[in-house]
Amino acid sequence: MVFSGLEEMGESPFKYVYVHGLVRDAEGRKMSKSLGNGIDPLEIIDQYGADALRFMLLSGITAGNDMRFKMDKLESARNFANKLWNASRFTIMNLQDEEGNFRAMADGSEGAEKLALKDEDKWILSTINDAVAEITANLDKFELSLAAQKIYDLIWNEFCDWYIELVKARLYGTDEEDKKVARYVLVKALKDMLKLLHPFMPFITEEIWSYLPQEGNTEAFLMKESWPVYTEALKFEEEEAKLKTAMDAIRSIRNIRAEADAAPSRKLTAVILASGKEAGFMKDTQHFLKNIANVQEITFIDSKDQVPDEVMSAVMNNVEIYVPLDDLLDYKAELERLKKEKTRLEGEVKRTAGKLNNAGFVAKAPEAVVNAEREKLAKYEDMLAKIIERIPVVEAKVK
Amino acid sequence: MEKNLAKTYSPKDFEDRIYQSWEENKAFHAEVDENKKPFTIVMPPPNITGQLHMGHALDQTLQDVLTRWKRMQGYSALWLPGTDHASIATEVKVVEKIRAEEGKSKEDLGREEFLKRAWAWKEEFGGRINKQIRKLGSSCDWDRERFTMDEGCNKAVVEHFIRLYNKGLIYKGNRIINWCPVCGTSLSDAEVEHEDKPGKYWYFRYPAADGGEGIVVATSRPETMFGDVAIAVHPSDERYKDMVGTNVILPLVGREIPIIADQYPDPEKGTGAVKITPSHDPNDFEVGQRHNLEQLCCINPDATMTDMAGKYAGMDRYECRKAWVKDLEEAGYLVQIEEKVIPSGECYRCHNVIEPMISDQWFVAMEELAKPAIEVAKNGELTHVPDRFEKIYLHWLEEIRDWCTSRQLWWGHRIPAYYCDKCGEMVVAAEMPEVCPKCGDTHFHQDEDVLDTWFSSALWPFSTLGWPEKTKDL
Repeated sequence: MVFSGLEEMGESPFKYVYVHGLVRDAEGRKMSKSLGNGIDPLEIIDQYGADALRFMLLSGITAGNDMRFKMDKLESARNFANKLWNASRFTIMNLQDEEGNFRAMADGSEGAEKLALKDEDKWILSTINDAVAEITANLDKFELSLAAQKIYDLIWNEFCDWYIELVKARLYGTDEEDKKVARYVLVKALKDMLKLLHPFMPFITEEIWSYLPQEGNTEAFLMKESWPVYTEALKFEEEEAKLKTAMDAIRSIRNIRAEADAAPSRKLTAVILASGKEAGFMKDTQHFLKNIANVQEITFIDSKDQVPDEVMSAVMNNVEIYVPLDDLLDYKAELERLKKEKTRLEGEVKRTAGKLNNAGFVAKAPEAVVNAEREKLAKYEDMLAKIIERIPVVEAKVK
Repeated sequence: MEKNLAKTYSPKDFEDRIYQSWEENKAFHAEVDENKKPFTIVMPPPNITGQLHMGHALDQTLQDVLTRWKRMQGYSALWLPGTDHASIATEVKVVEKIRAEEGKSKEDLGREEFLKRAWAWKEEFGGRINKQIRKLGSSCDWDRERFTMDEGCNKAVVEHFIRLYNKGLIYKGNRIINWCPVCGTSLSDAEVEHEDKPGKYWYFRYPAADGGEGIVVATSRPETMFGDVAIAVHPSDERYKDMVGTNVILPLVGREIPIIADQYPDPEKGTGAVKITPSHDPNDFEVGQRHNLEQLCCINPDATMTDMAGKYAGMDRYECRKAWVKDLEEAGYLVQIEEKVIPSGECYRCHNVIEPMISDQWFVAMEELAKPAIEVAKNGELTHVPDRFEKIYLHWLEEIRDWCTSRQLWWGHRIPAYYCDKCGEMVVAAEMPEVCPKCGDTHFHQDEDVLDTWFSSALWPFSTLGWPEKTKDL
């Protein structure tokens, strides 16, 4: 094609040649009639849908290399579609009144950033905005698999697991103006993600799109929509950091619950000792701990002396969370957990310190990398010191 | 009232409906748009014999992701679909069908009737893969669907053939080609599958004509010895220096052949001396050209032995091999047998061992054509993803031999060459000529052969957009 094109048209008939590998079976053998190990794509489509097949085929491939066809990858693609479906259904349900009409929504046509956005709104919009830049860059380099992985993480982790949970309380709240904003952001976030996912999973995204509120022409296909573009106006670094701290705190409390075997329905109280900008973050986002982690009461303290007796604790960067568990607490478990954590942190300290003691690494690695390692070491040492301090206290309780 | 998605995700319930709706609304259709940048993928056309397999599914998904993404980015994105007539692959299937259903061969039917059946076959099965492609969600512009043997593609093929012929870049000649004795046609290098298989090297002594010891050569195909015209050694090979220019005797046959010096033999391999059989080995063919050696054909197109093989004439190539080796052994010419892994070339369609053979075929001269194609890869006009494939591409083009493009088949673009019934003068033209330029006779017959499937698919990126007409799509 190239030499014929050059001969007759005077130019190469194409600019890029993308080379893909073979689809092999789960054991890595070539699919062939004689082995009988071929898998019929039409049967897979019938069972799992074309979207799941497409997504599965793209996940984990790199240009020029063979891939293996694995049923668990297919199932995970289908589960992803399922997750998106349910989250979308939930979203639509919460946007509609009893008649099935969409409730009033804030008008973001002048730019979403002009609205009275809450921290979590800014966080999700900023996170999607970042993903837009990354996914577009991946596609520009024909890194289809990386792009697919990012959109998967964005939808599953950030949107389904976090944003929907964070925004729920507002949808059922009493602040009518804020409800409109929350609805708007939900729809905008979902729409932008559907656009990003559309090339990979065209059917499910088009189907969901057809149920979402549209401005103007309601007949328009998603496939004809514009690809999202990164915009500085939706870059909210502060809120990204803030929500990250909030999510870490929620995770910590969930972990504490899990280790103490305390049911999610049990109301807890939390005592928080925070410093630096994380102190502000924790105060701004404490309502999430109440709404999502079922923490009834939160007390902020300024010093270690104020830590109550009989607590389980979690140590984050600049944040310490103490959950008094009174009679629920199994001190032995707490001690064990602290010891485990101590071992883990000692390992981290050793590993990081080892790296920094390696003259070769310090000399050869870029300064930023070396500094990052130094910061990590300081962080681990700090966390470890706190654990070591805490262990004898708990030990005393056990005896 | 609820206006929401179904309670459970069930892709079966909406995928076909959505595809139909896209198609009915011409959502995939692309036209030249002055306000938009173009982005085009021409679908590598699947064979009409094809059934969608996992490889297609991956290939289609990759193309569709890129097309949908570019369309959303505001490009006028065209993904042009079509199917390949797949000359030999289809012909084999149609022949099989006629044999199974009617017990007839294609010759029984005759060319015209056979082609009717082939077109009918295409109508029946050719659309199958396109239905399957739709199931995957491929957003290709079906309004522009093409077929490598449709009228437009045929026009492009004839035009391109004539242009290359007039430039001297297509020629007819007796050259060594890959021959499949079972399919009964020539094959290009790209249609031969190479596989290493356990085999044998037989070492035979060719005694010197002057009664001396002579020379030992190894061969994996002893049946080709009847076509030997020389023994070659490397000019720097001290062992044979004094023998160059002398003659040896082809064992049992008794014919004298010379020992020549050539760069081709590798002194490290075997005995360092190789037999030269220009009619049945592509490398030997080149050596023969350099030394102006005779071409003696000892294997027929159906893989039986020719009269050159003496008493073995008419035997199958492998039967002959057995009998011939036995006779040589009994006569004391067999020195040694070496068990070895031997590269074997097989027909990509029927997987029988191909036979390199000298045959009167049409060739595309590749050297001139390959140069700019090498250049665009080197100067960045053509990018391979990932870039390591550029090496393979360049190696292929740099080492390329002239492309044997004629096939002894009926399903395909028939070669636009006509021969005068009276004087045999050849005219290459779009239509059958009326008067012979040489003798003035008015009766012609067209070349019997068709072009291989790659000749038309090579034009696919622009024939599908209207070439040789000057269309705005181009």
